[in-house]
Amino acid sequence: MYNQKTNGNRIVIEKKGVKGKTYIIIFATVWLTAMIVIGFFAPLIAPFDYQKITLSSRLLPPVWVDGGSFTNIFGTDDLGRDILSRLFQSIRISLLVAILGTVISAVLGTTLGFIAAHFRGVVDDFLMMLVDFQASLPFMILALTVIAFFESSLLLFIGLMGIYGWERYARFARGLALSAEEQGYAVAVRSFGASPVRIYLRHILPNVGNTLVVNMTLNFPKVIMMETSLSFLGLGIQPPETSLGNMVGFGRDFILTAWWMAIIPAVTIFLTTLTMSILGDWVRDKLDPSLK
Amino acid sequence: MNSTYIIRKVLRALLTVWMVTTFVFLILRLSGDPTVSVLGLEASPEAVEAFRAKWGLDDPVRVQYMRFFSNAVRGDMGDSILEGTSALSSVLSRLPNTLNLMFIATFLTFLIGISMGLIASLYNNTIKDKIIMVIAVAGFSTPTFVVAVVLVLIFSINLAWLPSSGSGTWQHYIMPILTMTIVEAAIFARFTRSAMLEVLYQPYVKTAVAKGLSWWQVIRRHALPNAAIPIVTICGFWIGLIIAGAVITESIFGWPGIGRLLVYSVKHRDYNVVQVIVLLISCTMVITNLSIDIIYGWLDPRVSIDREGE
Amino acid sequence: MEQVTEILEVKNLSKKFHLKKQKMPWQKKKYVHVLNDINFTVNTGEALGIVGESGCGKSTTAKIIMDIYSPTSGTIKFKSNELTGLKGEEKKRIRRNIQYVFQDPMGALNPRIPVVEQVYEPLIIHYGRNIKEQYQKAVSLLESVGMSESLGKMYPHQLSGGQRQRVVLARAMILEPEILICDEPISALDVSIQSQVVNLLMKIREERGITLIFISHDLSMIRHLCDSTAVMYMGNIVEQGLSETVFPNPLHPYTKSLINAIPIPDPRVKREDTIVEGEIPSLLNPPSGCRFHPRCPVAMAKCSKKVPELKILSDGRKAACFAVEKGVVQ
Repeated sequence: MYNQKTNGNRIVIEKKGVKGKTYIIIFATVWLTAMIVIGFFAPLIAPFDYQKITLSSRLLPPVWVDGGSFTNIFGTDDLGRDILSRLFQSIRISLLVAILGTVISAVLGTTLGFIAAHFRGVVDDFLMMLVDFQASLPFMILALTVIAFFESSLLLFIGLMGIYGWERYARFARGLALSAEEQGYAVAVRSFGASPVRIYLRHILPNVGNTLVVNMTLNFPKVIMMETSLSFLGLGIQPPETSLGNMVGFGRDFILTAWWMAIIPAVTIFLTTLTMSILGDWVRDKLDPSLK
Repeated sequence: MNSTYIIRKVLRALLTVWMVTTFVFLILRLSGDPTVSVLGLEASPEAVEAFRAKWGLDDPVRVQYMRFFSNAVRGDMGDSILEGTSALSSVLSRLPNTLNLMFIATFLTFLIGISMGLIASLYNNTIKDKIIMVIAVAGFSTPTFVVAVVLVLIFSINLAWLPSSGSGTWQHYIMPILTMTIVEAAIFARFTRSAMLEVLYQPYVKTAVAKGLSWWQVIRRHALPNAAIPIVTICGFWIGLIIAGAVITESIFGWPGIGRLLVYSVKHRDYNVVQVIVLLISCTMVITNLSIDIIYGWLDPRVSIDREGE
Repeated sequence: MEQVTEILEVKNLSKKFHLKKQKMPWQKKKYVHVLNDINFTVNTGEALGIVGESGCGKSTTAKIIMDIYSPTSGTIKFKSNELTGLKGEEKKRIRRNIQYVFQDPMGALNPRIPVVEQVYEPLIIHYGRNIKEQYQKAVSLLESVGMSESLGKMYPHQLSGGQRQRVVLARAMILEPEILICDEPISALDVSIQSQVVNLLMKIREERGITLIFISHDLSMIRHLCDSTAVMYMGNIVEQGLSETVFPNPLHPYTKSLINAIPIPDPRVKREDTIVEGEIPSLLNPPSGCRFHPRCPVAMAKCSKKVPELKILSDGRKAACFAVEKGVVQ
């Protein structure tokens, strides 16, 4: 049988695997912490003002390529702006949008789920209709539609990100609240006089907690990907603000002559979303394996 | 299978389509007066009047809505502002291009993704499994456009093997399809693997093996049919994935399909075209999901029979 | 002589549920008629047992009294306070006096909170936070039901079934209710623990003079514990009276079959076999007239046409049966 064939290898691999996996987790944590730190302190640690245009230093390559210098470690873009500084600022903006978006959609979704479970009837049906609606369009299309008809402002964009994924939270919160309300401790607590608010906050919400955190960590990379994709298309974060997606988008026009403009932010995005996914999986395994 | 089940699902699907239509209509109303965006700010009062009269913009919202709806049902979705032709034909003319991409990408995705997932699950916890999973995680954690840009860098710039945009020759197909496939196959692989793992470790599989069936027979007769249900689920995701993927991929590679048209129309505020595309996509997805629900009901008798109050 | 006062009065209580299984929105809803015009009273300090098979409506009755469900029609009076229309603070204040012990102690407790906190939580809800005092009260209450303070600090899953049930009991007691409703309090427990809990309940009743309402299908427990017994079948009370009257000499055919089915560990004792055939009909389509008539060995023509009322008999009990009224059954 297949197990036996590789029996010898299997034991060794498993042991090695454990160590290997730990290194990856450590690397992921380090990277993400670095991103957060950079994002937080961006204006302070950037060597240049990310908006400063220096036409005399356009399209300079990064330091490890011929012609590069330590002045602009990652080179400059077509307007002479320092890529490293822009990178820092982009990380800041992208992370900000992603964090806000994740939190908003988690709160929104969970609250709606609770409300639907508590009031049942028409309210619940209405929520289910909204979920159906959401499921009938890929979020990107929905976002594009909204952006088409309204001006693309930062506030609108954050609002959009705040809607991304709400239905997953809602569905879960609703399911949990429904089963808790119909039997068990919620009924018991209500029978000696607890108000619905108390029941939700004190009893149901803590039980949601674990899975909520897991959902949020799993959702976070998706939000980043959505935001960067939209910005890449030029429909997300608008200049003069910059984001990782923006940089790749603008850099693409110069990929022949100045590949670093697009590739450096692209690699950053890749590493960030990858590490976030890995960490998300790890958190999920620790907190709530039932979600596998 | 319960006919009630089917009827309810169909009703729900119709309701959803109606909701999307209404949403599109509302958003147009909410976003401001189209008069300004079409005619510009310097239009003369007479021109504005004429425009409003022509499009019935002074009628109450209810009337406008009915008109919008009846037009939509008849296929009249207005004209593309940028092209001058009917929005519908604008979209339909590009549809085949997108479909080409999608079919091939889907085929490859299923092929590669599911077989990778199968292999990973069968060789669970061995090096084959780990490698596949590492590639898979990298694959679906990367935004589509990053994959595309990297591919362009490697194959168009460095190696100059493939054209970086446009369509026409078979070489033009390669990178867009690769881009879409990489991300989606990764997702499929992972999902198939976990679905198969769930099934493989079940007691009835061990029983089948103990009975003396060969591995292939076990997989074919017991494991796969039961894993089929979650795989059908993922087909539900897939349609959304591939549409979103097409939007980005076409934009990057200048592929003349609906995705690129959508982005372009959004940028230039060609509302009618946007409306058509959104409705088209929504209907497609609703129909797909409906079919999946029906297949579910057929595959898993637990779902369709006597379900108490969904 | 002690004054006998009514503490709880249930009148004309009916309840129907509609089947959730939806068909088309335009199809008629189907109803399950769970309770059918129930009437009974409970005296202060009394222990009333409500017995019947699964589905007869006894748990539903308790839940309606506890406001977990609302009645379709009928009234419930607690010491002449009408319970069904209450709202707000008044509702909280009056309902404080009626507490409920759940059937499934594991389900009734929050798995993430130490049990002692769950015992004093009702105090917080009704009297505001005063953790020090409330904690002490909870601890002493737990001790009085035989659980130490250290056990109180544990989580539900760390305790045994019997211990959990004591926690639920303590939680129900902490508001010092006048009525305690126990729904199958021992059926989820191991047999060896059952008698412990039963004795505990008896002790509580003696010490505090609480009125008890027991819901169970365990006839021997009811006989042991309760002064009065009410027998339910398919949403109706078919016989009701003092336990010492009903058990030795059941009159209603259904009660007879139930009681005669209790095993007697003495092989020398012979009993007549009251064979009741068939199964309980579906509540969606209850039989006409007396709901027991299709299975009743002494059914008459009248029984399928009219619903017998609960009437007082000469020995003080009540029975709802035309045959009993006529004196056919002794």
